[in-house]
Amino acid sequence: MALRVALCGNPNVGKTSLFNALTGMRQYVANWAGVTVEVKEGIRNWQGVKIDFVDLPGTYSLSSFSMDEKIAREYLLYKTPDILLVIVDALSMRQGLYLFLEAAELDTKTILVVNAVDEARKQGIHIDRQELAKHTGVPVVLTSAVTGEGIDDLLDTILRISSSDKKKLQFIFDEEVEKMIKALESEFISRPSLQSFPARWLAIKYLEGDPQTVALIGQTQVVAGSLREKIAEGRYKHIDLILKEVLKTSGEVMTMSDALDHVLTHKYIGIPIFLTLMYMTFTFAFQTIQPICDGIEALFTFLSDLARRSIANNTISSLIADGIISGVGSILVFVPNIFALFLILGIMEESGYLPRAAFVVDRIMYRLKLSGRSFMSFLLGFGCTVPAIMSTRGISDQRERTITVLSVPFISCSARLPVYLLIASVFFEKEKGMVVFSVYLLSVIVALMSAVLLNKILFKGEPSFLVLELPRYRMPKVKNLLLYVWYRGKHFLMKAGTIIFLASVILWILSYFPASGDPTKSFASEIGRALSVLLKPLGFDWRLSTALIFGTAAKEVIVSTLSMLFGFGKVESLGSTLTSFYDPVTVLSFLVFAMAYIPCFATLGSISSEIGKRYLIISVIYSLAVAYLLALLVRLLGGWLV
Amino acid sequence: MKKVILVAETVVGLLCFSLFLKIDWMFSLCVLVFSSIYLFGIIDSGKNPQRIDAHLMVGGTMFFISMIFAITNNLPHLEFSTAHLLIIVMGLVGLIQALILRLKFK
Ligand SMILES: Nc1nc2c(ncn2[C@@H]2O[C@H](COP(=O)(O)OP(=O)(O)OP(=O)(O)O)[C@@H](O)[C@H]2O)c(=O)[nH]1
Ligand SMILES: [Mg+2]
Repeated sequence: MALRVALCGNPNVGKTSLFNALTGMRQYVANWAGVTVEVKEGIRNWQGVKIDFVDLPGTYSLSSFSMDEKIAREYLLYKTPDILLVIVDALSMRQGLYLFLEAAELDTKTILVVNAVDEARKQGIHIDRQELAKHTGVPVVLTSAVTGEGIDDLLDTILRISSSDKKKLQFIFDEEVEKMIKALESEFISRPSLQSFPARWLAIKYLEGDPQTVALIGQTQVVAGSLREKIAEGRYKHIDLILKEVLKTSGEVMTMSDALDHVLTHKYIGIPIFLTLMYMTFTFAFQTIQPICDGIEALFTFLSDLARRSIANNTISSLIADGIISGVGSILVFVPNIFALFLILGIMEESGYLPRAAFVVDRIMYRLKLSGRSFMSFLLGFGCTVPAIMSTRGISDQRERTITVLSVPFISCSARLPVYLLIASVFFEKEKGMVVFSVYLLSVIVALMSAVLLNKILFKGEPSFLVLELPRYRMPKVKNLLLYVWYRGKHFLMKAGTIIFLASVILWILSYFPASGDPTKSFASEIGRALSVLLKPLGFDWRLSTALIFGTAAKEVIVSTLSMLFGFGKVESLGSTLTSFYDPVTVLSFLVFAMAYIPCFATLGSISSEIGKRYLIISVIYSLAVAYLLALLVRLLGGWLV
Repeated sequence: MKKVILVAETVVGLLCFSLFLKIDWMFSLCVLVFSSIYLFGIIDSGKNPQRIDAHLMVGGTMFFISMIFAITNNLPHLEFSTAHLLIIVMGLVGLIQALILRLKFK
């Protein structure tokens, strides 16, 4: 039978990094709090014993306020592991040990793991392992998930403790608190429904006023939550005593983090620096990298020519050249842009700068009644909306979570990028980087305004509290970086092989028949024409309308559709055809519409599974309305300016 | 001494900004923002001498980044003006600055 070992700890202490080091897996690791939002398992064989490791979301305490904290807590309570690893960060042990003191009462075999000792050493902090083990009563292992230090030691310790007896751990509070705990404990033991939980733990949680425990137990003779401050105070006092013995520091110099923070989050130049770096990122990803994209485009043109020439049957050669190659190829052209963008965003995120931007814009966010956590979800939204929506599990306030889920789809995900790039490079050759940057900026503004609006409409603007968790600066690790880029870019490539491939074939069929190759008389045109009545005020013809319909499957398909509807049997580029069909204003309002309208199927699916079916419908109607309004606004403004 | 460097680099940075204004105005704004890191270093230096180091280090890094940006962005055209030469010098000096000052912090 496998040994089940769970990793729990504060957010961003390196649980997933350790998990990866222990199991050889490659789960997503990043330098900010709230990365892991689900339970993940992995297996390792060590000296003939099969160990099943479980990575949990980060949590500050075992009282559950946000969704991901609840996941960690439920796992520990209802699927109690054989051994519990409590991971604490060597540089913020005070907070880590708080969780440890709670977890130790769970009546499981526990190991205290102090991670990131490499960083502590660099800052001249020495951690006395023996002393720490003595004061906590459990084995202590010092590790670094980055250098691999202490990993074998940890595995050995796990085996050693698995074969020894369970030790009962208790942290004794002062008399008044203990008396209450004892009284409750004896009451709980007599209740059959509570048999499976550690009674003392429940008693403490009840006195702390943990909502779930109170719901479980109901009222007793003691008021729930009456001793919350006393308990926290007692624990911290105890921790401070331990740390005084355990930590040896040297010197009083400004740390690197302080130095960088002083400039990068500066009162006056913080925001300009942030915008400048973002501008450079976008220009690099969309302009500098362009020659590579051109190369890929040339390759696909060559391939489709080849197919046309070498396949005799007209229908089949059209399916391959006009359908598959042009449909899938028109999207693969953008792969270098997307990977370059995520490489730089990855460097910024891993180094801890991007999460800090949350701090720079904190005052704005606060006014919008959002917290740093939703800011990270918005940031993730630049990759793919689905994981961004999943990441909202870290937001403790249900109201804020709903608002974030409904607003995140407005953030431009990477699937929308091909649409922007296609149009920007055709119509705004010179200012391409600038145009794409502006659309991104607009998408951020729309998302934020939507947050304010929803707050007003749905929740009458109740104020929210602010939580900011700043990770420290770290040199990005090449391995993490490559993983990051791969995670973000992967689904783009996979979609090209699956959804987009399929959509290309279906689209080709719809636009080839019944007129054998004349899209203007095809089924697709019928569909588009039906809808274009609605979109007429925006200036979209049936082609653009068709593209928008198919774009709901995945937004890249907009590009495939356009390239198919305009490209049939033609050799000259899509660009020159497009310019002869539309004026810049129409195209710009199309761009804005494509940015904001209905989230793709995958996103709708995750909205409904995260916050409920009702919101799926709300989201569709809401985003369509916003898109229509914005596009109309662009059209009116454009018509007035030109 | 360090203050002199800050002042000198602010001036050169502003010069760079004005030279780039005609070539690529967006990039010149970037240079302006980064020069202001040096500028604020002079203003902030009163309270804590280590802040000067911080400004020099971060400013240096930013100029190094802009150097790389300016070069890669100009690679296809391969025409380097005085402005480009100046930003390259600023970038290299910035890199050295950042590498040395890095050791001053834990
Ligand atoms: N220097 C150093 N960095 C580490 C170490 N362990 C983790 N990190 C870094 O810390 C950051 C956070 O690591 P994660 O493994 O994502 O942390 P986590 O605890 O799983 O975080 P959540 O899932 O958000 O709770 C990453 O940037 C890691 O590269 C370590 O031992 N030494
Ligand atoms: Mg994690």
